[in-house]
Amino acid sequence: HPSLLGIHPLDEKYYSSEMIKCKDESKSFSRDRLNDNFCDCPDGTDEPGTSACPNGKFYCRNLGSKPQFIVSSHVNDHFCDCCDGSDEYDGTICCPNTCVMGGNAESTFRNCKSKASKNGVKSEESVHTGLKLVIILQVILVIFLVFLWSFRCRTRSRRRRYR
Amino acid sequence: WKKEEFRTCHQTPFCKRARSRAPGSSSLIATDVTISHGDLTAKLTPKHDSQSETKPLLLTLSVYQRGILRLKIDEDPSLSPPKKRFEVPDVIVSEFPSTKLWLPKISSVENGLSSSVYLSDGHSAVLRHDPFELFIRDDSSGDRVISLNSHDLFDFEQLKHKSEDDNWEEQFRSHTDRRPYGPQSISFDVSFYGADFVYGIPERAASLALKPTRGPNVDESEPYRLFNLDVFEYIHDSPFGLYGSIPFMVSHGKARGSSGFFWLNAAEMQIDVLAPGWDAESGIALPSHRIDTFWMSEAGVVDAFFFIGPNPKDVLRQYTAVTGTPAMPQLFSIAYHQCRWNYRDEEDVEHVDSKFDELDIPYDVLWLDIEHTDGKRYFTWDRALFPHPEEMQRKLASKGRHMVTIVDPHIKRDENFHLHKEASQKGYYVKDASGNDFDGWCWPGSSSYPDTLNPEIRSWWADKFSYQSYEGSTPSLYIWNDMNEPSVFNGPEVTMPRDVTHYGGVEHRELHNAYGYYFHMATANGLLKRGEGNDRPFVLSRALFAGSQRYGAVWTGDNTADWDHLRVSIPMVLTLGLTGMSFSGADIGGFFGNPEPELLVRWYQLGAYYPFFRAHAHHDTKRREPWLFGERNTELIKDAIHVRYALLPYFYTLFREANTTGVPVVRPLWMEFPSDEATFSNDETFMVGSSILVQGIYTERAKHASVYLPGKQSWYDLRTGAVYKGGVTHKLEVTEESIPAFQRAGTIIARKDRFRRSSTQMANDPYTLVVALNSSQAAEGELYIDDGSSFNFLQGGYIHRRFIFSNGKLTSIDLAPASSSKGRYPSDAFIERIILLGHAPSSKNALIEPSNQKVDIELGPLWVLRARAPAVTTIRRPNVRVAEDWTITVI
Repeated sequence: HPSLLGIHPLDEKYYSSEMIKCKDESKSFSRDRLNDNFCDCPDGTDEPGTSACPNGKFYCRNLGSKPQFIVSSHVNDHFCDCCDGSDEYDGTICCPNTCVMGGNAESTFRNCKSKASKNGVKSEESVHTGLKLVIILQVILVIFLVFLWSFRCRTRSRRRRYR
Repeated sequence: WKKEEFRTCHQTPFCKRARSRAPGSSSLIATDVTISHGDLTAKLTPKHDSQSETKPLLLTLSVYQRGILRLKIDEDPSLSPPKKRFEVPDVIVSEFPSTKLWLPKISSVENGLSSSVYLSDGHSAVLRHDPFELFIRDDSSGDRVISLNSHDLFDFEQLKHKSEDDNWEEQFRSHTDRRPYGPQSISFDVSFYGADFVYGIPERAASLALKPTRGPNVDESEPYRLFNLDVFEYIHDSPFGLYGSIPFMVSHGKARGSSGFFWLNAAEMQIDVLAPGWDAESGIALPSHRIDTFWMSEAGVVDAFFFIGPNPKDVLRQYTAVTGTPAMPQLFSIAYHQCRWNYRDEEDVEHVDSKFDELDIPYDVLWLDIEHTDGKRYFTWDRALFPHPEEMQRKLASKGRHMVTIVDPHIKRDENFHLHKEASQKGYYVKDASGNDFDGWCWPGSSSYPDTLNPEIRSWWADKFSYQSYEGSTPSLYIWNDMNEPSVFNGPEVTMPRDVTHYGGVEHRELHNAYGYYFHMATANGLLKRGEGNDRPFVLSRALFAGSQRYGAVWTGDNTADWDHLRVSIPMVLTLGLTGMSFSGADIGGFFGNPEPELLVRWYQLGAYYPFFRAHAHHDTKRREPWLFGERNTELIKDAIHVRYALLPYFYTLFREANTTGVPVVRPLWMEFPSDEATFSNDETFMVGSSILVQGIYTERAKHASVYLPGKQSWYDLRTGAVYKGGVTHKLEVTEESIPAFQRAGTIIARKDRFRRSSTQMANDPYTLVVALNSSQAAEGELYIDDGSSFNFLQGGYIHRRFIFSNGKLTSIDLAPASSSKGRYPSDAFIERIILLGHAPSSKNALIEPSNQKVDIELGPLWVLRARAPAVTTIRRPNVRVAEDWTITVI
């Protein structure tokens, strides 16, 4: 679900009701305000997936590696913080998934053409688009790995024939 | 401080001679008054009865647009003086001469005793013939504005050929100045009429309003000294001159407003501000409401400019029409800078950088002092400590951050150092009295100094900043010029001997105060050249002179971790801004000594409002990064840095205003409230632009602060939104969380409430508008945006908006001219929040046009970054583009 971006799985239930309470109990907000790119809760409860709240935290799932929280100021800041690349979903920068390879996530790839949304507003829609891009990148990575494996197979075959 | 290393007036022969002269001692009259090439010209001739052997001097009076009068007085070249006196080149901007008005005629006044010329509508310049006097007169009232030589103190020591009897040598401590051309000083008096105070003539650690230095009831007997020096541990509240000199004085008074006087001369200057009644015995009758000043210079010519104001901002526009407006800085350079003498090595740099990330504290620039070099050879790296400088810079650049390295003017005399070898072979160093390369001591030991007066040498120096020449430099590296007064550890007064010679035979005594200026210029041109003219330079300089504002930033030098130094930093920064040098700041925390945590926190809170915001410390001090003083103090420092980052759009708009008008980013109160006498000598409170007022907390454990809020409109506390009445002094309770800061009612400020690692990363983030309503429920403000780094803004590549709130409607208006050779700066940035201060929370919605969209009005926090922020009326998610025309109506 796109509006669950940045949310820890254990918190998904917390965000399932129609009216959600800020964790600091300062106020409540309706579900349509979850990740709407405007900060309603001082503690960032309503914006786990965007940079709108300075005190917010973004959850990187980092499948294949260790999940982590990063500060909201690092979301879409053109610097790869999550090894799964999920923090840079606005598409301005490409962050390959380095989780399986155990690589250091802290790096920057600037080879992407800017893919900011046409209307420029970082709406829920563009969050979804960014996430799609991440998925596509991961698929490409998997294909690359398969190719690499098949190449090694061929090498082994050649050796066998020699013997 | 090491007072004995520096000269007093009494130990300075020209100053001593000049100060001993009594009013009425001048013996010159103006003769042969005529118009020549659009100027008034005359000869200044000794009276017939005088004993003087003085030859006639040539006087030229020119009038320029905007009400600028220029006076030049020099020796007559047809009378074969031994040498041409030095006129300071490359300070006056190239466009200035074309603004000269062609004077059609002279009007004779007072039965031929005076000559008068048109200066501007309503003002004339009058030259009185006998004795010589020049003044500017308001034609409608007949009142004087400024005058020169009203007290007949004018003296011009002409150059003479040396005779056998002459002994011109001067001694100071163990140093001898040969003075090959003998005495050549100039002095005169200048009066400012209707003035309550005079200001300017930086640089010193003293009050904004210049206190009298001579006359009745004056204890201080030292004049204000303008002589650029490397002053180690300067003290506060002293008229002694420090690292820079700008011989420009501004007067202000309730009766008449403001005026200015600028003497373009780079020799040592001493200036007296004379207390009322100083001339009681002279019998000279002048309007009593005025301030008299006495100007003395060791050498040079009279090249003086008079600015008639009448508003303080007019004086700045007039002055910067001559010396240029401040350069438009890159956005990163007005953000937070982290510095220390010295970050040890690449690992230390990486640690500091990652710690900022870990604690989520933004910063934009990390600085390296002299220890990064190989044996203090600038343009090199100590490869044992910094083996991969390019990679180090790229890692910072990947987060939008930059690095600054130091490049000083002293070049190590080492035959294996390519820079020295080349400079020596080409003859590019300044020469000593024997004609050899001058050898003086500085950080590298035996050193020589490039002669940056010479444009050819400046061009050579600029070439050294190319990526090929400066190995290890990258596009994200910028430069720091220190010690460019210049500092010479074994020289007289820790600087260069006065008989050292420069290009064209100019003696150092004639250009001393401008040496650092030319070095700064050459360095900035180097970055310009490196970037092929597409990247704005950033060069921080310690020395400065008139015109330095065109080349970068300055800082107030080697201050101390002391509450008095925190306090005096404000008049210092205000004085620099008032004399054109808008982009300045003091070392946060103090360069020398170790600040108590409370002092450090207060300094960050105040420094967040300096135009130049950098933390810096001496290598003997303890480490001072924000996280080293306990969790609470780290939070407070982080909050102060966040205030600066939130206000970056506002600061950037102010730098644009400075770039176009010369009006400084940070201003004395009286620049915004010119009729309010209570503001004239207040230098503990200041304005950031016309919308924000700030007063620091300058004492330890302060519980209260008395803050005078000028004007008839209210002020909103920047932190709480609380309303305070204008025109009243308020006693406020003080917390550790912030210093008193207010937004003026009737203003609109643009802010960014999302914080990143650096300002570069904030470029596309949304804006918050804070609309502070006045008693008519109206407000107005501006926002300027460009790419933050290139010169595309010169061809229209920018966004400039005005926001007006009136009758319940907020309107965005385009201020940029319709036709631009290049396209407008493309920005999709939008406004995410509009805060209405002083608005009754009765409305629930707002209507956006032309999109005809309705949005919610709710109570929201004044600051999203702060817990327990007060709730204020907020228009939620208007999401209108900053680049577009729109209106938002409260319904």
